[in-house]
Formats: sequence, structure tokens, C-alpha cells
Amino acid sequence: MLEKGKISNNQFILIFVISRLMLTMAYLPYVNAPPWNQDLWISAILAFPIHILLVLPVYFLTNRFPGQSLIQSVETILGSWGKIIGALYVWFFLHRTAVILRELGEFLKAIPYPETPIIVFITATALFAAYSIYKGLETICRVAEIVAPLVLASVFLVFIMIAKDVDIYALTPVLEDGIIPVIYGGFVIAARSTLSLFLWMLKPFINEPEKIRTTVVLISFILTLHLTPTSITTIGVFGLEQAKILNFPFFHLVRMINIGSFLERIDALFIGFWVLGMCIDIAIHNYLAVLSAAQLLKLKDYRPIVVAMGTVIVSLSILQAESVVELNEFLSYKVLTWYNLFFTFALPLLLLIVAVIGKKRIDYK
Amino acid sequence: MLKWFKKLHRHFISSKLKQKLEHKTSEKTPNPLSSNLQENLTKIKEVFSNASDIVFRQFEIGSHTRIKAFIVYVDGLVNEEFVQMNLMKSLMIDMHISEVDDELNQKNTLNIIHQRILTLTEVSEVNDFQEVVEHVLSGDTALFLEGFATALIVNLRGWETRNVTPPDTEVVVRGPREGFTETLRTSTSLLRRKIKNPNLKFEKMKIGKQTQTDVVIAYIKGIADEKIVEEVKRRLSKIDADAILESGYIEQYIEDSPLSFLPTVGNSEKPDIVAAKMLEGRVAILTDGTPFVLTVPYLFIEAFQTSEDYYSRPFYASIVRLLRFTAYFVSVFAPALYVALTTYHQEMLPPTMLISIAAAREGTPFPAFVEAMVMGIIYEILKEAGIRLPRPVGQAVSIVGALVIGESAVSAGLIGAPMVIVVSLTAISSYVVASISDTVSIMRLTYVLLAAFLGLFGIMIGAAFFLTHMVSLRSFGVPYLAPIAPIVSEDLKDVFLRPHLWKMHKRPKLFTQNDLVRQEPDLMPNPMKNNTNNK
Repeated sequence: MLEKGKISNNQFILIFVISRLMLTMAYLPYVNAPPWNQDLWISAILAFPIHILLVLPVYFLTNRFPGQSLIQSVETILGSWGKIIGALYVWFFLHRTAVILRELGEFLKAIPYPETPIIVFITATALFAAYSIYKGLETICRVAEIVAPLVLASVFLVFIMIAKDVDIYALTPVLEDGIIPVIYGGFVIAARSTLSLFLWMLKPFINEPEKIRTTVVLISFILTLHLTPTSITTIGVFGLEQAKILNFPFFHLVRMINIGSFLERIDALFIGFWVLGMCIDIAIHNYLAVLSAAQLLKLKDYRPIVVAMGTVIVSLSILQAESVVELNEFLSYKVLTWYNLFFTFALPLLLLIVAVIGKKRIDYK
Repeated sequence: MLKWFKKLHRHFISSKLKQKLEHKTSEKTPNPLSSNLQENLTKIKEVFSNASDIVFRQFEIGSHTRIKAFIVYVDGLVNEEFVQMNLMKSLMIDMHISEVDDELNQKNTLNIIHQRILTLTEVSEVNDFQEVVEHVLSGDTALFLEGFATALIVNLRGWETRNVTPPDTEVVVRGPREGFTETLRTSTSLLRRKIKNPNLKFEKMKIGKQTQTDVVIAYIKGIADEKIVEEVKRRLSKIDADAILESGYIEQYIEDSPLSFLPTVGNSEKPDIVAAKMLEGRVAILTDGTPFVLTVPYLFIEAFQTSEDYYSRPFYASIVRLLRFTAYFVSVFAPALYVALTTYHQEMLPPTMLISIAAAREGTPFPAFVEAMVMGIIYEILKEAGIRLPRPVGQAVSIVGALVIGESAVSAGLIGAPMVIVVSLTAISSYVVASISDTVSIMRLTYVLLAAFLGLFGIMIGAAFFLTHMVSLRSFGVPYLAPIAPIVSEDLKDVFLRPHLWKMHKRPKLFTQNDLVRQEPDLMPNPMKNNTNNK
């Protein structure tokens, strides 16, 4: 076994929720996606069932191949051809880490540090990710266990503190363009999630795999619980058109907080928590990249490749896009939705069909 | 390449270990006593040559059959009055008057003396020469008899000891004042008086090749986890040190992560604290010669819990505990945040505050980072000087520290007044969690450095590193940050708040799985209800 640690279901919930929330907290890309109107909050609620639906193929696959991670079960299904699919997934995690790293750097460069070169933030965070990977999965999850409740609590505190500034009429008219764009929007939101791949990679290390259904539902629920108020407050405070223009809607929302002119300018605190959360987000994605590569190459220990992978990720995060505009182009619903969907849903579904036809499965002892 | 190095290293270590083991076994060769008294005497005099504190006394026992004998003891380690009254007098005078004298012959002397003459409680027979020497050096008195290859070891220990006094390190307003002393036996008696239970075990060991220090492993059988007790014994028996002068020596040989700046072994000077920790399933290690008792496993949150939390009522105790967490964060982060906010993120300060800070820093020659580092280091120097200096001079240090470095530096325009405020706030806060205040200093200076380089981002990256490091630590198998990460929901209630005692009806699950239930779950006092029942 490459990883000897075990994580609890709660840790899995927290580590996924935090890795999903952090980008939303800065960028909130959904504003510029279907349904393009004030019904975003309905889409956020609709994303809840769709999100669960998209996990189903992987759920059945993990049940069919218990104790095997993504890379291992792909190889069981396809034999040596599975290496190619496995390599694709390694690339996916690698690239995703690079994207998140770049987004962290771009945010820090845009708001608090206009003059510092972006490579400083990226290298520092990548170093942290490498350090925590050396310490193992258990350590990453325990850090998430400390940070995630803090982040979640502070986000909900933000909702409460900004509530008095929300103009609820900005959300009307409801269902202006009909239900179809709203459902599409919900689909786009759900498709951004990589829960199925987290589940596939980490299920062998979860200590109560039989409770995974509750875990998945809880994750989707927490995400909805976060995204719905986020969209309501963002649109309610800024109005739809302003929210679309803002680069970092949620961050500006935090800046708007002013209670009795003594509780204000808490954006420093927000940046602090955000950086902490992003560190974990990057660490777990980097960990998945390293673990999947090690499983693909059948290494006995993943530690020797940590630094090498980290170097690749840092270079990739710098080279992948000229500017934040180019990066956002990739992250927009037009590209990322389908790119993600291919890895999280389509490919697993195909593999599931192949496995069912080929009658491949691993039985419990 | 790396593997090859590792192999070489392992080979090297194992060959060394083998040598060590051989060395050890050669030391333990039996060295039996002779039945010739003179031979024993010369041998023991040879061992104790040039040691002026060793006392030999030769005499004869019995009136019909006279048996030559001598005693050996270390002057100063025995109670001489007892030796005279209880040992010498009974052997030389009382025996003559009693009937026993008639039964005495060459063969049964030892037995008769052991069973019927010596009115002392702790008497044992020893055959090995080396063992006799060890006993004598620990303060026992050895009695040798002509014709016997056995020595009688009599415990007549008595030496100058410090009284049980209130310890200086853990001061309480409410709670017992007594503290452990340097004498191991006094310390164990203090614990025994707290826990009157046969399950309280004191297992004895000797550590230190030169010092032969007595070490006692104390635990409550049935509560403490056997695995942890075994692990403590294993680690202690592996210590092959020359000397154990303080329990700190032991701590450094048994800790889990010697390369970490955080302590993973706890210590206390107070019997009530150690007793409480043992009742939660921890194991205590008492060392002769020091009042500091080690407790393992040690968790991070123990620094935030004091004995007084549990002796006083829970409401204010909970508030104080939250204050301690706040103070900890202030003492770790305050200077770093000040540096980060004044150098990088001025826009995040409220305008009025920004103006007053800027006005105070007007004309100061150094950047905030240099100020913070210099003040931090000066504070550490003052602290160290305050501890080391003789008491009359200590006053001078505080005057120099407060006036010259605080007041004058500000009025001379060398250092901004806000920095002095921040540093003094930090200094005071760090003593709220006194037991880890040394690690706070390390963290504080590191954070200031990071804040100077990268501002808030630097602090947060540093926090992520420290958090990861702390989370990855273990103390005797228990995760260092335990009830918080990984979350142990049952134990979480006694972390940030201090619940009612009747609410804590179960022991912490972290240290032990044995005998988890302390008491009935519903012990909330309800006098009204009880009264009606009585009617």
C-alpha cells in the first residue's frame, strides 16, 4: 500500500467541501454562466440532485471494485490499455493543481500584492503542498479538520453580517426566462465538481466505506447550503450586472461589510482564511496527482516523486495561461463544464459499461 | 544511491548496537560474595578506596559463640541515630540479654539476626557483591557476617531533604499547595496520598550508567492503557545514557519527535495535577533528584488546561480558558500581524488607527520588521537576565528594561510606541500559557520574519506549515492535536470550555479504552427533588 493512513468520513466531507468552496469564495464563476439572470440561487439548489446523479457511475464502479482506487480499477477493467486512461487522470489532477495554484496567485496579485511577482506565491504554496504530502493523507485531512470549520463558520458569519444590505427585489422576477436555463445552470454548477474523482481515489482509505452514500449526500447538501446564500447575497448586494463585471464578487462582498462602522474591513481576515483554505485545496489536489502517478507507475513509495511533480506543477501553472483572462476563458462554463464532465462522468460511465459487459468485478472476501 | 546509503547506515547502526549489547552483558557478570569476612572487607574497601564518606565498623556478635561482623554505609545518607539505636544496639547489647543468644551458632546466625533480632522493617539478603555496592551507594546499610556469603541490607536511610513546599512554577489560588520534592519516596507518597487505591502502581527502574538514578513509572492499573505502559517501559529501558540528572534528560530520550520544537512530554510539579492526569489514563514518570514529574502522552491542549479550572466553578473557568486561547494567539501572531499590516496592508486598518500609528512611527529610523525583531530579541534577553540574575540585581533589570528600553527608546524616537505596546502585550500574553511559552517565542520570531517577507500571505503559509507539523506529531501513539484534529467528539467538550464535573462522566477516549465510565451519567445535584423524596 502506498498510503497507510485512514481517514474518517467526516474528514472526507471536510476535505472535499473545502477544496470545492475556496475557488467559489474568490471567483464565483457561476455569475457568468447560465441562467445569466437573477435565478442563480435556484440553479444552486437544483445542482444538489444533479451533483449526486453525476457521482453515480463512480459510485457503482467503487462498489464493483472495492479497495481499488481510480488508477487500479481502470487497469483491472482495461488491462494494460488502462495505463493510458490512468495517465489521462494523472494529467487531470496535475493540471487541476496547476490551475488552482495559478488562481491563488492571480487573486493575491490582483488584490493585496500588486507588485509581487506571482511565482513567489505559487512556489511558496507548492512548497507547503509538498511538505504536507510528505506527511501523508492523514495529516492533510487533519489540517482540513481544523481549517474547514473555521472557514465554513466565517462564511456563514459573512452571510449574516451582510444580510442587512441585501436587496431582495434584485432577485425578481423569478424564472424570467423559464425553467430550462435554470436547470442548465444547475447542471453547469454540478459539473464543476470533482467529487466523483475524489471519491474514486480516496474511498480505499475511508474507514467507513459503507456509509459513503450519506457522505455524498451530506457533501452535496453543504455545498448547496453554501452556494445558495452566496448567490443570493452577491446578486442582492451588487445587482446582477455589477456582479458579472466584478472579478472577485465574494471578496468584494466581504469588503462591503460594515456594521455600526466599527465592524468593517474584515477582508484581511478573509484573505487569511482564504489562503489557509487554498493551501489545503492545493495540497489535496497535489496529493491526488502524486498518488495517482505513483499508482500508475507502481511505485512502492510516492515520496521520491513529490518534488519532481511539484516542479512540474509550478511550471505548468505559470505556463498554462498568459493572463488571468486566458485562465478564466478555460474556467468558463463553455470549456470547463465539458472538460470536467468527460473525466468525472463520461469516462467512468464508459468504464462501468465495459466492466458490466466484461463481467469484471472484485468480490468481497 | 539513497538506498545504498540507507543500507550502509543501517549496517553501521546495527553493528554498533551489537557491540553495545555485548558490552552490557559483560558488565552484568555475577560477582558472588565470599564467606570469608576479611576477604569481603578488603574487597569492599578496595572498591570504596579514597572515598572519605564511607564508614566501616567492625564488631562482634554474641557472647558464647562470637561471630565477627562489620557494617558499611555512606555517611550522610543514613540516619546515624537509627544505626546506633536500632542496628548496633540490638546486635551488640539486646542480643546478649535475650534468650536468642544461647541458640546462636555458626550456621543460624544470619537467619536469627534476620528473623528475630533486627527490629527494622526493610531488611533483605543479597548475595552479589555488585548489588551490595549499589545498595550501599543508594543509602542502605550493609551488614556482613563471618562465614556467610550473604549480606544483610538494612534500610536506615535518612538524609537532608527539602520540605514539601508550594512549587514556584505552578501557582494556584485555589487548590493544594504541596509540590513534589527531590526525594523520590516523598514524591510517591504524595501521589499515594492522593490516590488510595491498590491499583496505583509504582514500577521501579534504574537509569544512567554513572548516576544509577531511580526512576518510577506510575500508573493506575485498569485505567491506563497497557500498550502505553509497555511503550514507556520499552523506551525507558532503551536509555543508555551516562547520567540522568533531571527528568528533562529522560524527556529528551523518550520523546516521539526530538526534531520538533514542540514538547511531546508533559511535566508537572504538583501531585494533584499528576494524579488527575493518571486518572485520565496517562502514565507518570517520577525521577529521583527532581520535583518535576513527566506525564505521557502529552497533548497540545494540556497547556491550556490548569488544575484550577476544575477546582473552581465552571462558568468563569470556561471564560478563562477561552481567554487563554486568545492570549495564545495574541502572543504568537501580534507582532507579525503588526508588521504585516504596517508594511503591506495599510488599507486594511481603519483610517483613524492608521493615522495614529503613522504619527507615532513618524521619524523612527527602522522599518517595522527591524523594530519587531530587535524588540523581540531584547525582550528575550531581558527575560533570561531576569531569571538568572541574583534576586537583588533583578530589580535593576526590570528598571532598565522598562525605563531605558521602553520609555527612553520611544521618547528618543528610536522605536515607535505601537511596537512597544505590541511587544509588551505579547510578553504578558505568552505567560498565560506558561508551559509552552518557550515554543511561542520561536513561533513568534518566525512569523515576524515571514510577515516581513510576504505580509499576511507569509503569515498564513507559515500557519499552514506549523499546523501541518503539529497535526503530524504524535505523543506515545496519540495524535498531538487530538480532540481537535482528528476530531474526537466525546472529548471535545473539555477543550474550549470546561463543562460541569457531573457532565464529564466519561474519561477521555484518547489515552485508554479501559474503564471509560467515571460515574453515573446523571449526577446533576438537585436538592429540591431529593428533599421531596425523603418526605
